[in-house]
Amino acid sequence: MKIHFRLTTFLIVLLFGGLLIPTKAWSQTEGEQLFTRVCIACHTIGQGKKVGPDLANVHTRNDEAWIIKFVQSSTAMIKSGDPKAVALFEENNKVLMPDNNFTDAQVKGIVEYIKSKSPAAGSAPAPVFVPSVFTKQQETNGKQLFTGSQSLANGGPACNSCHNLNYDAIITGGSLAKDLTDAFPRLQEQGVKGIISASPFPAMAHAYKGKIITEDEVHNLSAFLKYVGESKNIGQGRDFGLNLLFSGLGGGVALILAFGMFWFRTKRTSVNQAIYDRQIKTY
Amino acid sequence: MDILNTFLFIGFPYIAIAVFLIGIIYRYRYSKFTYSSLSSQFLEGRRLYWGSVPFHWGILFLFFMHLAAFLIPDSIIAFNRHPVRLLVLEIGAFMFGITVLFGLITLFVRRINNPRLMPVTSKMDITLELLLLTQVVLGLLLAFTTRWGSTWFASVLSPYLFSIFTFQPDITAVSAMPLLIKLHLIGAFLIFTLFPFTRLVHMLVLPLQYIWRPYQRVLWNWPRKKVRDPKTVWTRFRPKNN
Repeated sequence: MKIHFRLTTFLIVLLFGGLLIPTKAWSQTEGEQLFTRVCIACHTIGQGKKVGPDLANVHTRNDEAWIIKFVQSSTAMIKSGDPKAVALFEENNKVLMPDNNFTDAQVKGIVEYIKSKSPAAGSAPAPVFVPSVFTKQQETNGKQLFTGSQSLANGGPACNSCHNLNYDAIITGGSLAKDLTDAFPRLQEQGVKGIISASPFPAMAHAYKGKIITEDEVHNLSAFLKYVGESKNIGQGRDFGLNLLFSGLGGGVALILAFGMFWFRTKRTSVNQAIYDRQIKTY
Repeated sequence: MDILNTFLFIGFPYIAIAVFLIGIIYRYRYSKFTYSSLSSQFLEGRRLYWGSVPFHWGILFLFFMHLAAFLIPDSIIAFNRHPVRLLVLEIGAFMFGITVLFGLITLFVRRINNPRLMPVTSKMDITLELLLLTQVVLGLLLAFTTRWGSTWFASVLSPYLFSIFTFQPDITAVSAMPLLIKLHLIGAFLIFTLFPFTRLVHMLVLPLQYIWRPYQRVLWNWPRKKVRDPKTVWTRFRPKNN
Protein backbone atom coordinates (compact mmCIF):
# COMPACT_ATOMS: atom_id res chain seq x y z
CA MET A 1 0.00 0.00 0.00
CA LYS A 2 2.83 2.30 0.99
CA ILE A 3 4.63 1.50 -2.23
CA HIS A 4 1.50 2.26 -4.24
CA PHE A 5 1.20 5.62 -2.55
CA ARG A 6 4.82 6.48 -3.23
CA LEU A 7 4.51 5.46 -6.86
CA THR A 8 1.41 7.61 -7.35
CA THR A 9 3.11 10.62 -5.74
CA PHE A 10 6.18 10.11 -7.92
CA LEU A 11 4.07 9.93 -11.07
CA ILE A 12 2.13 13.08 -10.15
CA VAL A 13 5.39 14.96 -9.52
CA LEU A 14 6.68 13.74 -12.88
CA LEU A 15 3.47 14.71 -14.65
CA PHE A 16 3.61 18.31 -13.49
CA GLY A 17 7.38 18.44 -13.45
CA GLY A 18 7.34 17.74 -17.19
CA LEU A 19 5.38 20.94 -17.76
CA LEU A 20 7.97 23.00 -15.94
CA ILE A 21 11.00 21.88 -17.93
CA PRO A 22 11.92 24.73 -20.27
CA THR A 23 12.18 23.85 -23.95
CA LYS A 24 15.38 25.81 -24.46
CA ALA A 25 17.96 27.66 -22.50
CA TRP A 26 17.20 31.28 -23.27
CA SER A 27 19.63 32.65 -20.73
CA GLN A 28 21.86 34.11 -23.47
CA THR A 29 19.01 35.38 -25.60
CA GLU A 30 19.96 38.45 -27.55
CA GLY A 31 18.56 40.03 -30.65
CA GLU A 32 21.79 39.37 -32.48
CA GLN A 33 21.76 35.67 -31.66
CA LEU A 34 18.18 35.30 -32.87
CA PHE A 35 18.71 37.40 -35.96
CA THR A 36 21.77 35.43 -37.04
CA ARG A 37 20.12 32.11 -36.29
CA VAL A 38 16.64 32.64 -37.70
CA CYS A 39 16.03 35.87 -39.63
CA ILE A 40 19.25 35.93 -41.65
CA ALA A 41 18.07 33.18 -44.01
CA CYS A 42 15.55 35.54 -45.61
CA HIS A 43 16.48 39.08 -44.57
CA THR A 44 19.46 41.41 -44.66
CA ILE A 45 20.16 44.70 -42.89
CA GLY A 46 21.09 47.17 -45.58
CA GLN A 47 22.28 44.56 -48.10
CA GLY A 48 19.12 44.48 -50.20
CA LYS A 49 16.18 42.14 -50.60
CA LYS A 50 16.53 38.38 -50.11
CA VAL A 51 13.40 36.22 -49.74
CA GLY A 52 11.86 38.95 -47.61
CA PRO A 53 12.50 42.70 -47.57
CA ASP A 54 15.68 44.43 -46.41
CA LEU A 55 15.08 45.16 -42.71
CA ALA A 56 17.31 48.24 -42.43
CA ASN A 57 15.48 50.86 -40.37
CA VAL A 58 12.39 48.68 -40.14
CA HIS A 59 11.50 50.45 -36.87
CA THR A 60 10.93 53.72 -38.75
CA ARG A 61 8.48 52.12 -41.17
CA ASN A 62 6.30 50.26 -38.65
CA ASP A 63 5.42 50.68 -35.02
CA GLU A 64 6.79 48.22 -32.49
CA ALA A 65 3.47 46.58 -31.55
CA TRP A 66 2.76 45.82 -35.23
CA ILE A 67 6.25 44.36 -35.76
CA ILE A 68 5.89 42.12 -32.70
CA LYS A 69 2.53 40.82 -33.88
CA PHE A 70 3.77 40.30 -37.43
CA VAL A 71 6.95 38.45 -36.44
CA GLN A 72 5.04 36.16 -34.10
CA SER A 73 2.39 35.23 -36.64
CA SER A 74 2.40 36.90 -40.03
CA THR A 75 0.09 34.15 -41.28
CA ALA A 76 -2.66 35.14 -38.84
CA MET A 77 -2.30 38.82 -39.76
CA ILE A 78 -2.51 38.13 -43.48
CA LYS A 79 -5.55 35.94 -42.92
CA SER A 80 -7.20 38.65 -40.82
CA GLY A 81 -6.73 41.05 -43.76
CA ASP A 82 -4.33 43.54 -42.16
CA PRO A 83 -3.64 45.85 -45.16
CA LYS A 84 0.08 46.33 -44.43
CA ALA A 85 0.65 42.60 -43.92
CA VAL A 86 -1.24 41.70 -47.09
CA ALA A 87 0.74 44.31 -49.08
CA LEU A 88 4.05 42.85 -47.83
CA PHE A 89 2.88 39.35 -48.72
CA GLU A 90 2.00 40.48 -52.27
CA GLU A 91 5.27 42.39 -52.69
CA ASN A 92 7.35 39.37 -51.70
CA ASN A 93 6.12 36.84 -54.26
CA LYS A 94 3.45 35.54 -51.85
CA VAL A 95 6.03 33.71 -49.77
CA LEU A 96 4.72 33.29 -46.23
CA MET A 97 7.07 34.00 -43.35
CA PRO A 98 6.94 31.03 -40.94
CA ASP A 99 5.41 31.83 -37.54
CA ASN A 100 7.99 32.40 -34.82
CA ASN A 101 7.74 31.28 -31.26
CA PHE A 102 9.31 34.50 -29.90
CA THR A 103 8.23 36.44 -26.84
CA ASP A 104 7.56 40.20 -27.12
CA ALA A 105 10.90 40.88 -25.42
CA GLN A 106 12.76 38.70 -27.89
CA VAL A 107 11.24 40.52 -30.89
CA LYS A 108 12.11 43.84 -29.26
CA GLY A 109 15.69 42.55 -28.87
CA ILE A 110 15.84 41.69 -32.58
CA VAL A 111 14.50 45.13 -33.53
CA GLU A 112 17.13 46.74 -31.28
CA TYR A 113 19.84 44.75 -33.04
CA ILE A 114 18.52 45.76 -36.47
CA LYS A 115 18.39 49.39 -35.31
CA SER A 116 22.03 49.23 -34.23
CA LYS A 117 23.14 47.72 -37.54
CA SER A 118 21.01 49.87 -39.85
CA PRO A 119 22.92 52.37 -41.99
CA ALA A 120 22.26 56.02 -41.11
CA ALA A 121 19.71 57.89 -43.23
CA GLY A 122 21.31 59.34 -46.34
CA SER A 123 24.11 56.81 -46.51
CA ALA A 124 24.83 54.83 -49.68
CA PRO A 125 21.92 52.71 -50.97
CA ALA A 126 22.01 48.92 -50.68
CA PRO A 127 24.30 47.28 -53.21
CA VAL A 128 22.53 45.85 -56.25
CA PHE A 129 22.67 42.07 -56.34
CA VAL A 130 24.24 40.60 -59.46
CA PRO A 131 22.84 37.13 -60.24
CA SER A 132 25.38 34.33 -60.77
CA VAL A 133 25.94 32.68 -64.12
CA PHE A 134 25.83 28.94 -63.46
CA THR A 135 27.76 26.40 -65.51
CA LYS A 136 26.49 23.03 -66.78
CA GLN A 137 28.97 21.31 -64.45
CA GLN A 138 27.54 23.14 -61.44
CA GLU A 139 24.03 22.04 -62.43
CA THR A 140 25.16 18.41 -62.67
CA ASN A 141 26.95 18.62 -59.32
CA GLY A 142 23.85 20.16 -57.81
CA LYS A 143 21.71 17.33 -59.17
CA GLN A 144 24.01 14.74 -57.62
CA LEU A 145 23.93 16.54 -54.28
CA PHE A 146 20.15 16.83 -54.44
CA THR A 147 19.59 13.12 -55.04
CA GLY A 148 22.39 12.01 -52.73
CA SER A 149 24.52 10.20 -55.31
CA GLN A 150 27.17 12.72 -54.24
CA SER A 151 27.37 13.05 -50.43
CA LEU A 152 27.26 16.44 -48.80
CA ALA A 153 30.71 17.25 -47.40
CA ASN A 154 29.55 17.47 -43.80
CA GLY A 155 27.27 14.43 -43.91
CA GLY A 156 23.82 16.02 -44.02
CA PRO A 157 20.90 14.08 -45.55
CA ALA A 158 20.24 14.45 -49.29
CA CYS A 159 17.65 17.10 -50.20
CA ASN A 160 15.30 14.58 -51.81
CA SER A 161 14.77 12.83 -48.46
CA CYS A 162 12.16 15.49 -47.74
CA HIS A 163 11.72 17.53 -50.95
CA ASN A 164 10.30 16.52 -54.30
CA LEU A 165 10.99 17.88 -57.78
CA ASN A 166 8.78 17.31 -60.79
CA TYR A 167 11.71 16.08 -62.81
CA ASP A 168 11.69 12.75 -64.65
CA ALA A 169 15.45 12.17 -64.51
CA ILE A 170 15.60 11.67 -60.74
CA ILE A 171 13.90 9.50 -58.15
CA THR A 172 10.72 10.88 -56.59
CA GLY A 173 11.63 12.99 -53.60
CA GLY A 174 10.19 13.07 -50.12
CA SER A 175 6.89 14.67 -49.24
CA LEU A 176 7.60 15.84 -45.70
CA ALA A 177 8.65 19.31 -46.88
CA LYS A 178 7.72 21.62 -49.76
CA ASP A 179 8.02 20.64 -53.42
CA LEU A 180 10.93 22.68 -54.79
CA THR A 181 10.15 22.58 -58.52
CA ASP A 182 9.28 26.28 -58.59
CA ALA A 183 11.49 27.33 -55.67
CA PHE A 184 13.98 29.25 -57.79
CA PRO A 185 11.47 31.34 -59.76
CA ARG A 186 9.68 32.18 -56.48
CA LEU A 187 12.62 32.88 -54.19
CA GLN A 188 15.33 33.85 -56.65
CA GLU A 189 19.00 33.12 -56.09
CA GLN A 190 19.41 35.10 -52.86
CA GLY A 191 16.37 33.50 -51.28
CA VAL A 192 17.31 29.95 -52.31
CA LYS A 193 20.87 30.37 -51.10
CA GLY A 194 19.75 32.00 -47.85
CA ILE A 195 17.36 29.14 -47.01
CA ILE A 196 19.83 26.38 -47.94
CA SER A 197 22.68 27.85 -45.94
CA ALA A 198 20.72 28.85 -42.81
CA SER A 199 17.22 27.43 -42.89
CA PRO A 200 14.58 29.24 -40.86
CA PHE A 201 12.42 26.08 -40.89
CA PRO A 202 12.85 24.15 -37.62
CA ALA A 203 12.92 20.62 -39.07
CA MET A 204 15.52 21.51 -41.71
CA ALA A 205 17.57 23.52 -39.22
CA HIS A 206 17.68 20.43 -36.97
CA ALA A 207 18.54 18.05 -39.77
CA TYR A 208 21.61 20.10 -40.71
CA LYS A 209 22.67 21.10 -37.20
CA GLY A 210 26.43 20.52 -37.09
CA LYS A 211 26.34 19.38 -40.73
CA ILE A 212 26.64 22.73 -42.47
CA ILE A 213 26.18 22.78 -46.24
CA THR A 214 29.32 24.39 -47.71
CA GLU A 215 29.25 27.50 -49.86
CA ASP A 216 30.17 25.54 -52.97
CA GLU A 217 27.40 23.02 -52.34
CA VAL A 218 24.87 25.83 -51.82
CA HIS A 219 25.99 27.35 -55.13
CA ASN A 220 25.71 24.03 -57.02
CA LEU A 221 22.30 23.26 -55.52
CA SER A 222 21.08 26.71 -56.53
CA ALA A 223 22.35 26.06 -60.07
CA PHE A 224 20.37 22.81 -60.22
CA LEU A 225 17.20 24.37 -58.75
CA LYS A 226 17.48 27.19 -61.29
CA TYR A 227 17.73 24.66 -64.11
CA VAL A 228 14.69 22.73 -62.81
CA GLY A 229 12.68 25.90 -62.16
CA GLU A 230 13.32 27.42 -65.56
CA SER A 231 13.35 24.36 -67.83
CA LYS A 232 10.19 23.46 -69.65
CA ASN A 233 10.88 19.91 -70.79
CA ILE A 234 11.86 18.00 -67.70
CA GLY A 235 8.65 16.02 -67.37
CA GLN A 236 6.10 15.87 -64.60
CA GLY A 237 8.08 13.72 -62.20
CA ARG A 238 7.20 10.15 -61.34
CA ASP A 239 4.81 9.76 -58.45
CA PHE A 240 6.37 6.97 -56.51
CA GLY A 241 3.75 7.05 -53.77
CA LEU A 242 1.48 4.55 -55.53
CA ASN A 243 4.43 2.34 -56.52
CA LEU A 244 5.41 2.19 -52.86
CA LEU A 245 1.86 1.28 -51.91
CA PHE A 246 1.44 -1.50 -54.49
CA SER A 247 4.97 -2.91 -54.14
CA GLY A 248 4.54 -2.93 -50.39
CA LEU A 249 1.13 -4.61 -50.60
CA GLY A 250 2.37 -7.21 -53.09
CA GLY A 251 5.51 -7.86 -51.06
CA GLY A 252 3.49 -8.14 -47.87
CA VAL A 253 1.17 -10.75 -49.38
CA ALA A 254 4.21 -12.66 -50.73
CA LEU A 255 5.77 -12.63 -47.26
CA ILE A 256 2.59 -13.96 -45.65
CA LEU A 257 2.46 -16.78 -48.22
CA ALA A 258 6.13 -17.50 -47.59
CA PHE A 259 5.48 -17.79 -43.85
CA GLY A 260 2.78 -20.29 -44.68
CA MET A 261 5.01 -22.33 -46.98
CA PHE A 262 7.90 -22.55 -44.56
CA TRP A 263 6.24 -23.10 -41.28
CA PHE A 264 2.65 -24.13 -41.65
CA ARG A 265 3.26 -27.85 -41.50
CA THR A 266 5.84 -27.74 -38.76
CA LYS A 267 3.35 -27.28 -35.99
CA ARG A 268 1.12 -30.13 -37.04
CA THR A 269 3.41 -33.08 -36.39
CA SER A 270 4.13 -34.25 -32.90
CA VAL A 271 7.57 -34.03 -31.36
CA ASN A 272 7.97 -37.80 -31.37
CA GLN A 273 7.23 -38.17 -35.07
CA ALA A 274 10.84 -39.16 -35.81
CA ILE A 275 10.76 -41.93 -33.18
CA TYR A 276 7.43 -43.10 -34.51
CA ASP A 277 8.70 -43.26 -38.12
CA ARG A 278 11.79 -45.15 -37.02
CA GLN A 279 9.70 -47.71 -35.21
CA ILE A 280 7.61 -48.37 -38.29
CA LYS A 281 10.74 -48.80 -40.36
CA THR A 282 12.20 -51.43 -38.02
CA TYR A 283 8.97 -53.23 -37.37
CA MET B 1 -0.41 24.93 -28.12
CA ASP B 2 3.08 25.43 -26.71
CA ILE B 3 2.07 24.00 -23.36
CA LEU B 4 0.41 21.05 -25.08
CA ASN B 5 3.53 20.36 -27.17
CA THR B 6 5.73 20.72 -24.10
CA PHE B 7 3.59 18.23 -22.24
CA LEU B 8 3.24 15.74 -25.09
CA PHE B 9 6.86 15.76 -26.22
CA ILE B 10 8.73 16.47 -22.98
CA GLY B 11 6.50 15.63 -20.02
CA PHE B 12 4.83 12.58 -21.51
CA PRO B 13 8.01 10.82 -22.72
CA TYR B 14 9.56 11.20 -19.27
CA ILE B 15 6.39 9.86 -17.66
CA ALA B 16 6.46 6.96 -20.13
CA ILE B 17 10.12 6.17 -19.36
CA ALA B 18 9.55 6.40 -15.60
CA VAL B 19 6.41 4.26 -15.63
CA PHE B 20 8.14 1.77 -17.93
CA LEU B 21 11.23 1.41 -15.75
CA ILE B 22 9.45 1.38 -12.39
CA GLY B 23 6.67 -0.82 -13.76
CA ILE B 24 8.84 -3.58 -15.22
CA ILE B 25 11.03 -3.79 -12.12
CA TYR B 26 8.05 -3.73 -9.77
CA ARG B 27 6.19 -6.41 -11.71
CA TYR B 28 9.27 -8.61 -11.97
CA ARG B 29 9.92 -8.35 -8.26
CA TYR B 30 6.38 -8.82 -7.04
CA SER B 31 4.75 -11.09 -9.61
CA LYS B 32 7.53 -12.68 -11.57
CA PHE B 33 5.39 -15.46 -13.00
CA THR B 34 3.14 -13.02 -14.83
CA TYR B 35 6.09 -12.16 -17.10
CA SER B 36 4.69 -14.11 -19.99
CA SER B 37 3.01 -13.79 -23.34
CA LEU B 38 0.10 -15.82 -21.86
CA SER B 39 -0.03 -18.07 -24.89
CA SER B 40 -3.43 -19.37 -25.95
CA GLN B 41 -2.00 -21.85 -28.45
CA PHE B 42 -3.51 -24.81 -26.56
CA LEU B 43 -6.95 -23.31 -27.00
CA GLU B 44 -6.66 -22.41 -30.66
CA GLY B 45 -3.65 -22.94 -32.91
CA ARG B 46 -4.55 -22.57 -36.56
CA ARG B 47 -5.58 -18.93 -36.70
CA LEU B 48 -2.96 -18.10 -34.12
CA TYR B 49 -0.31 -19.24 -36.57
CA TRP B 50 -1.57 -16.98 -39.37
CA GLY B 51 -1.80 -14.05 -36.98
CA SER B 52 1.17 -14.51 -34.74
CA VAL B 53 3.89 -15.38 -37.28
CA PRO B 54 3.32 -12.49 -39.74
CA PHE B 55 2.82 -10.12 -36.82
CA HIS B 56 6.00 -11.12 -34.99
CA TRP B 57 8.32 -11.18 -38.02
CA GLY B 58 6.95 -7.84 -39.14
CA ILE B 59 7.15 -6.15 -35.78
CA LEU B 60 10.68 -7.45 -35.16
CA PHE B 61 11.90 -5.96 -38.43
CA LEU B 62 10.11 -2.65 -37.84
CA PHE B 63 11.20 -2.42 -34.22
CA PHE B 64 14.86 -2.94 -35.05
CA MET B 65 14.71 -0.55 -38.01
CA HIS B 66 13.22 2.18 -35.79
CA LEU B 67 15.90 1.41 -33.22
CA ALA B 68 18.64 1.63 -35.86
CA ALA B 69 17.35 4.98 -37.15
CA PHE B 70 17.48 6.23 -33.56
CA LEU B 71 20.84 4.76 -32.54
CA ILE B 72 22.85 5.02 -35.78
CA PRO B 73 21.13 7.82 -37.72
CA ASP B 74 24.22 8.77 -39.72
CA SER B 75 24.60 5.23 -41.05
CA ILE B 76 20.95 5.15 -42.11
CA ILE B 77 21.31 8.53 -43.85
CA ALA B 78 24.46 7.26 -45.60
CA PHE B 79 22.71 4.02 -46.61
CA ASN B 80 19.76 5.95 -48.05
CA ARG B 81 21.94 8.18 -50.23
CA HIS B 82 21.67 5.70 -53.05
CA PRO B 83 18.13 5.74 -54.49
CA VAL B 84 17.98 1.95 -54.96
CA ARG B 85 18.97 1.31 -51.35
CA LEU B 86 16.43 3.87 -50.19
CA LEU B 87 13.69 2.15 -52.19
CA VAL B 88 14.66 -1.31 -50.92
CA LEU B 89 14.51 -0.10 -47.32
CA GLU B 90 11.24 1.79 -47.74
CA ILE B 91 9.45 -0.95 -49.66
CA GLY B 92 10.85 -3.61 -47.29
CA ALA B 93 9.56 -1.69 -44.27
CA PHE B 94 6.18 -1.22 -45.95
CA MET B 95 5.96 -4.95 -46.68
CA PHE B 96 6.62 -5.83 -43.08
CA GLY B 97 4.12 -3.15 -42.05
CA ILE B 98 1.51 -4.95 -44.16
CA THR B 99 2.32 -8.30 -42.50
CA VAL B 100 1.97 -6.66 -39.08
CA LEU B 101 -1.40 -5.21 -40.06
CA PHE B 102 -2.56 -8.57 -41.44
CA GLY B 103 -1.32 -10.40 -38.34
CA LEU B 104 -2.94 -7.96 -35.92
CA ILE B 105 -6.30 -8.09 -37.69
CA THR B 106 -6.19 -11.90 -37.76
CA LEU B 107 -5.32 -12.02 -34.07
CA PHE B 108 -8.04 -9.53 -33.18
CA VAL B 109 -10.73 -11.40 -35.13
CA ARG B 110 -9.55 -14.66 -33.52
CA ARG B 111 -9.78 -13.14 -30.05
CA ILE B 112 -13.25 -11.74 -30.34
CA ASN B 113 -14.77 -14.59 -32.36
CA ASN B 114 -13.61 -17.58 -30.39
CA PRO B 115 -15.61 -18.23 -27.20
CA ARG B 116 -12.81 -20.41 -25.83
CA LEU B 117 -10.49 -17.41 -25.81
CA MET B 118 -12.81 -15.01 -24.01
CA PRO B 119 -11.98 -16.23 -20.49
CA VAL B 120 -8.25 -15.68 -21.09
CA THR B 121 -8.68 -12.23 -22.67
CA SER B 122 -8.41 -9.17 -20.47
CA LYS B 123 -9.54 -5.62 -21.15
CA MET B 124 -5.90 -4.62 -21.31
CA ASP B 125 -5.33 -7.16 -24.11
CA ILE B 126 -8.05 -5.54 -26.19
CA THR B 127 -6.76 -2.04 -25.39
CA LEU B 128 -3.23 -2.99 -26.41
CA GLU B 129 -4.42 -4.72 -29.56
CA LEU B 130 -6.37 -1.62 -30.62
CA LEU B 131 -3.43 0.64 -29.74
CA LEU B 132 -1.03 -1.45 -31.82
CA LEU B 133 -3.51 -1.50 -34.70
CA THR B 134 -3.82 2.30 -34.59
CA GLN B 135 -0.06 2.62 -34.45
CA VAL B 136 0.58 0.38 -37.45
CA VAL B 137 -2.15 2.07 -39.51
CA LEU B 138 -0.60 5.46 -38.67
CA GLY B 139 2.84 4.12 -39.60
CA LEU B 140 1.65 2.84 -42.98
CA LEU B 141 -0.18 6.09 -43.68
CA LEU B 142 2.98 8.00 -42.79
CA ALA B 143 5.14 5.88 -45.08
CA PHE B 144 2.69 6.46 -47.91
CA THR B 145 1.90 10.16 -47.44
CA THR B 146 5.08 11.56 -45.90
CA ARG B 147 8.04 10.12 -47.81
CA TRP B 148 10.91 9.21 -47.08
CA GLY B 149 10.42 8.33 -43.47
CA SER B 150 13.60 6.37 -42.99
CA THR B 151 15.73 9.44 -43.72
CA TRP B 152 13.71 12.15 -42.03
CA PHE B 153 13.32 10.00 -38.93
CA ALA B 154 17.09 9.66 -38.74
CA SER B 155 17.78 13.32 -39.43
CA VAL B 156 14.96 15.09 -37.56
CA LEU B 157 13.38 12.78 -34.97
CA SER B 158 16.52 10.98 -33.86
CA PRO B 159 18.11 14.24 -32.52
CA TYR B 160 14.85 14.95 -30.68
CA LEU B 161 14.84 11.50 -29.04
CA PHE B 162 18.51 11.92 -28.14
CA SER B 163 17.68 15.27 -26.57
CA ILE B 164 15.13 13.46 -24.37
CA PHE B 165 17.59 10.79 -23.27
CA THR B 166 20.34 13.32 -22.56
CA PHE B 167 17.94 15.41 -20.44
CA GLN B 168 18.23 18.45 -22.72
CA PRO B 169 14.84 18.24 -24.40
CA ASP B 170 14.51 20.30 -27.57
CA ILE B 171 11.11 20.17 -29.25
CA THR B 172 11.45 22.94 -31.85
CA ALA B 173 11.65 20.48 -34.74
CA VAL B 174 9.08 17.97 -33.49
CA SER B 175 6.56 20.76 -32.76
CA ALA B 176 6.67 21.74 -36.42
CA MET B 177 6.05 18.19 -37.66
CA PRO B 178 2.77 17.17 -39.37
CA LEU B 179 -0.06 15.84 -37.20
CA LEU B 180 0.35 12.20 -38.35
CA ILE B 181 3.95 12.08 -37.16
CA LYS B 182 2.98 13.62 -33.83
CA LEU B 183 0.21 11.05 -33.36
CA HIS B 184 2.60 8.19 -34.20
CA LEU B 185 5.06 9.49 -31.60
CA ILE B 186 2.37 9.90 -28.95
CA GLY B 187 1.18 6.35 -29.72
CA ALA B 188 4.72 5.09 -29.17
CA PHE B 189 4.99 6.84 -25.80
CA LEU B 190 1.59 5.43 -24.85
CA ILE B 191 2.76 1.90 -25.65
CA PHE B 192 5.81 2.42 -23.45
CA THR B 193 3.57 3.70 -20.64
CA LEU B 194 1.28 0.67 -20.85
CA PHE B 195 4.13 -1.78 -21.38
CA PRO B 196 4.48 -3.02 -17.78
CA PHE B 197 0.74 -3.59 -17.45
CA THR B 198 0.37 -5.72 -20.57
CA ARG B 199 1.57 -9.04 -21.97
CA LEU B 200 4.23 -7.05 -23.87
CA VAL B 201 6.56 -7.78 -20.94
CA HIS B 202 7.28 -11.12 -22.60
CA MET B 203 9.70 -9.20 -24.85
CA LEU B 204 11.98 -8.78 -21.86
CA VAL B 205 12.15 -12.46 -20.95
CA LEU B 206 13.01 -13.86 -24.34
CA PRO B 207 14.03 -17.51 -23.83
CA LEU B 208 17.34 -17.00 -25.57
CA GLN B 209 18.92 -19.85 -23.60
CA TYR B 210 16.78 -22.21 -25.70
CA ILE B 211 19.25 -21.64 -28.52
CA TRP B 212 22.18 -23.23 -26.72
CA ARG B 213 20.58 -25.43 -24.09
CA PRO B 214 21.05 -29.23 -24.50
CA TYR B 215 18.36 -31.22 -26.28
CA GLN B 216 15.55 -32.42 -24.10
CA ARG B 217 14.42 -36.00 -24.24
CA VAL B 218 10.66 -36.23 -24.14
CA LEU B 219 9.38 -39.30 -22.28
CA TRP B 220 5.85 -40.59 -21.91
CA ASN B 221 4.72 -41.79 -18.61
CA TRP B 222 2.23 -44.28 -20.02
CA PRO B 223 2.79 -47.58 -21.86
CA ARG B 224 3.23 -46.94 -25.57
CA LYS B 225 2.39 -50.51 -26.46
CA LYS B 226 -1.04 -50.13 -25.01
CA VAL B 227 -1.75 -47.28 -27.36
CA ARG B 228 -0.81 -49.42 -30.35
CA ASP B 229 -3.01 -52.27 -29.21
CA PRO B 230 -5.64 -52.82 -31.95
CA LYS B 231 -8.09 -53.89 -29.32
CA THR B 232 -8.11 -50.46 -27.79
CA VAL B 233 -11.01 -48.33 -28.90
CA TRP B 234 -9.80 -45.56 -31.23
CA THR B 235 -11.89 -42.53 -31.72
CA ARG B 236 -10.02 -40.93 -34.64
CA PHE B 237 -7.14 -42.87 -36.13
CA ARG B 238 -6.42 -46.55 -36.36
CA PRO B 239 -2.80 -47.25 -35.42
CA LYS B 240 -0.75 -47.75 -38.55
CA ASN B 241 1.84 -50.10 -37.10
CA ASN B 242 -0.41 -52.98 -36.19
